[in-house]
Amino acid sequence: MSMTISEPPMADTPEHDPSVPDVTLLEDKMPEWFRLPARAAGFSVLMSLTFVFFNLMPLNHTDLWGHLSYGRHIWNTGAIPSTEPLLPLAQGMPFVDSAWLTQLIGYGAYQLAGKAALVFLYATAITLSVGLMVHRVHSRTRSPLVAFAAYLLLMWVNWQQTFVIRPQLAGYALFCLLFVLLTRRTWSKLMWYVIPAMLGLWASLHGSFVMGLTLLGCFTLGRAIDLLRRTGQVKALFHDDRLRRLFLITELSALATLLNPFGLALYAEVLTFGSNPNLQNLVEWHPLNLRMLQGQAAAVCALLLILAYRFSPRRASATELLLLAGLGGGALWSSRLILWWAPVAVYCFAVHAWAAWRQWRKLELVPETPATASLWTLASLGFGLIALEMSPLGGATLDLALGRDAMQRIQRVAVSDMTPVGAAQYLVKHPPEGMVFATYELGDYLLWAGPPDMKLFVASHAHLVTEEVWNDYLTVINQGSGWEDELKRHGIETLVLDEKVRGPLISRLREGTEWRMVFKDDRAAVFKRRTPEEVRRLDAKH
Amino acid sequence: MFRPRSKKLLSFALIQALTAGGFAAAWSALPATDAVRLKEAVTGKPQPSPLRIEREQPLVITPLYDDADVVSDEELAAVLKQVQPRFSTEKLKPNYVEHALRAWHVDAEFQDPRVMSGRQMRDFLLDHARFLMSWAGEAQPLLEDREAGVAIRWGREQGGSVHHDHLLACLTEAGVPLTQPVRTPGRPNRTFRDVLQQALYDFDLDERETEWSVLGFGLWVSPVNEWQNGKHRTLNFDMLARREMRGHKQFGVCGGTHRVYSLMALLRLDEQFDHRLLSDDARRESRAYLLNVRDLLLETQFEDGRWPYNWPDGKQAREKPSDIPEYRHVIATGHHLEWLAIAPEEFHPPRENVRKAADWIIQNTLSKKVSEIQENYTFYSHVGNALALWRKSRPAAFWKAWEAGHPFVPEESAAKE
Repeated sequence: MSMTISEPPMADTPEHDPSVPDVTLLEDKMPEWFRLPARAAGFSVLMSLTFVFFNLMPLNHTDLWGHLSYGRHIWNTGAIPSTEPLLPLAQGMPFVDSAWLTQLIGYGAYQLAGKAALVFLYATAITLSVGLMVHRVHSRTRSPLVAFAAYLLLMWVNWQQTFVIRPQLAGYALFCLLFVLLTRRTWSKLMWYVIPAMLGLWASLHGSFVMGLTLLGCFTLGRAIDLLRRTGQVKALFHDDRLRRLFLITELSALATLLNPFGLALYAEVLTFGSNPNLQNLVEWHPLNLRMLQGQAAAVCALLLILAYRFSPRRASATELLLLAGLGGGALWSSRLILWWAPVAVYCFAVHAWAAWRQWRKLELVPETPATASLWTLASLGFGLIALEMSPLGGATLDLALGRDAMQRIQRVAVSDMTPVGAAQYLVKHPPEGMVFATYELGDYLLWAGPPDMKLFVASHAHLVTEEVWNDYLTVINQGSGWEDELKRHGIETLVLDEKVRGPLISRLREGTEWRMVFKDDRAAVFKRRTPEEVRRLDAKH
Repeated sequence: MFRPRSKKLLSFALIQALTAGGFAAAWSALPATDAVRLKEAVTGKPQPSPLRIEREQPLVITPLYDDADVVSDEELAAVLKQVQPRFSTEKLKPNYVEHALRAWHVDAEFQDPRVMSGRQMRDFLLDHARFLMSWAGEAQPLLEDREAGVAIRWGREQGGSVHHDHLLACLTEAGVPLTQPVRTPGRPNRTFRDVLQQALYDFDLDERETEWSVLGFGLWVSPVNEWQNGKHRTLNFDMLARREMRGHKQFGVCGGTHRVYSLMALLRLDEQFDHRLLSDDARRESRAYLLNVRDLLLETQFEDGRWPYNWPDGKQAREKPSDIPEYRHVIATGHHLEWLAIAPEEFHPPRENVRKAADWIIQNTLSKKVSEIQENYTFYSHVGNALALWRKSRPAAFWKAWEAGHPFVPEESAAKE
């Protein structure tokens, strides 16, 4: 229904000057499909701010560079490796590279537009994820306020998981998209193609595709449980179209996931990955607890959920309960799984809290449809374009189009203050002999930017080295008993340590005679082992 | 025309067929190793895949020299007499028996009834009943039934084998075939093949001691050059050779000398199989490593001929000798003589240096009482073996021939002890 933007004349409105056109008489002549409500512009502002924010985040020093290194390897060799190709101590280890496509895309993007492309992809993945969830919450509640609250809650609970740029974020975006599709009120024929295609793609982007299958499975099972509860009859299961569709689409999606270079072997990897003993030392794989910031956020979210369900007049569907309990239990087992629990929890909280609020305030069940106008469409697009221009990639593209130097914008993208840029440059100029022992967190960047033939002890893919090697790493980094012997046992001739956390180890090495510091900046220090002759001379001096 | 309900049924059936067919096709397309990994992931139970080993008799690395100037017949006989395995049958240490069996071979026979024959030593190690008789339940079984075969209990606990895969390597060098029966506590019908398969399954490239695993695998698996362990890690002899060269030399067992022996053995096997075992790079690195060991032997040899335990320290070991117990120098000298006996001459220090080392070790061995030798049997067994190798022989073969001309006299022997 079209509406004309015109303000009714007010008593104290000054008389219009006839020499100037009267804009209040303007008619919105754009077609109905082009017009959006004012809240769309609000949504656009929110998403644009999110997009710009993540575009301006420094690139984290872990994970990302390791993944790019694998992407580079795949590109250079034209093949996906079946055994670990980059770490000498992981030679021969079976390597099911479940994120191969993300790594390749990331590498390709980097080759095209450097770090600007990486932050662009990063910001897009997160903006898309939260945008989809906010949209779904709004479509259920029709309340911009509730949608905004959901946005804040989701960002808070998942903050820890989203500030590290890694292939998992591609999975996050697909998870949210799948959730949005499955919570549609009506079933579209397109879903028969889109959902399996998504899962098929997901299986090559990241191992989290199993979360997608879990989501589908929970929706299917939840529907079945609700049917049984409602009808008390098993035969009702066979006559329900929605259940049939969910069941079939789950099967087709599982089938689609086989279209990956590893086939069924991908399932073996995904099933066993989390139980690798080396991961137990990594904080992000620890069970969620209240000492973690994300644990605290999750606890608040859980509390809000309890309150919402307590006062909500809406029935709690079996699907909701399955997802909340299953994914929540998973997060308690391993805190990384909070990434998948949060969107579901926030959605459930939002719809139930809104239902409770509506009942309490005795609000209309179906609120008034807001007025639409192409002004808001233009505003929404405008905000989006501004956000795009503010991003390094968007800005660089604009610079190129205007004949300006685009490299400045690209190079201005920051890396985190632990990224060992200087140390990597030093090692390139002075290629190390023998094995290089680096703090685990620095390993990825050294793999990426260090000398090509460098033999690195470990990087962030801790699950790819044996338990013995990992335990030796921990012994050295924690200066455990015999740590100096471990360095000799592995033939370590060069050390690269971060200043931020390993300051005490750096000081200890400087005080000793075995190691000579050859490089230092505010991020990292590089040590080279002295020859026995040098050590003897120094010992004699002291 | 299909009715809507029939259409739904048909499409449902079609999708079931497609899904089942798809998964079946995916399963059949899965490589064998990935299928095993998936089964393990689903069942939570190990699914060992035995490596196909064609041979039943182990490969042998023949000694290269017969130099009576290094050790004469009389000297060799005297040393071998000292290092006969005169063990008490009570609480017999597997580690001692392994060393003895390795040096003397499974065919060893002695006229002296107090000395265990090769077969007796073999049976002690591979028959739980005999082990039990010796230990009377005061030690855990040496042989353990496991998922892939028979594991050997090793470590510092009493009645154990001490070093990982030491039993495997020693019995292999002693000539025990894969068909040799093995009687574990639970199953009487195992064979030595089960011991080898479990060793292949258990092997971890990054564990502390790999010297004997490398040797054992080299003598059985060659010329097959790629296999997988129980954790599905693909291994080859390049990786094993580099593992022996990893890190500072002092960290190998027995002052790093066992690594040198195992590496030399791999090079010999590589040559035997027309260079199919090692890549050019690995061969080059191994040769460079062994040539460096040769140079260190030149730098570190003492005037009296011994090589010190801290030989990896180079000149420093001789110029500023550490306070190291004598038996450690016996370890170093004996072990170095052993690997030199199977090494081509380019890896040798001058023959004169080898003779000096042999002189020292012979004098040292003959100066000890039998009880002192027995206390340090593991080290002196290498001395006996090394000297026999320098006569292009084996202790058992030499001793049999010697005893034929010099029969055992009980009273004479008791008097000397």
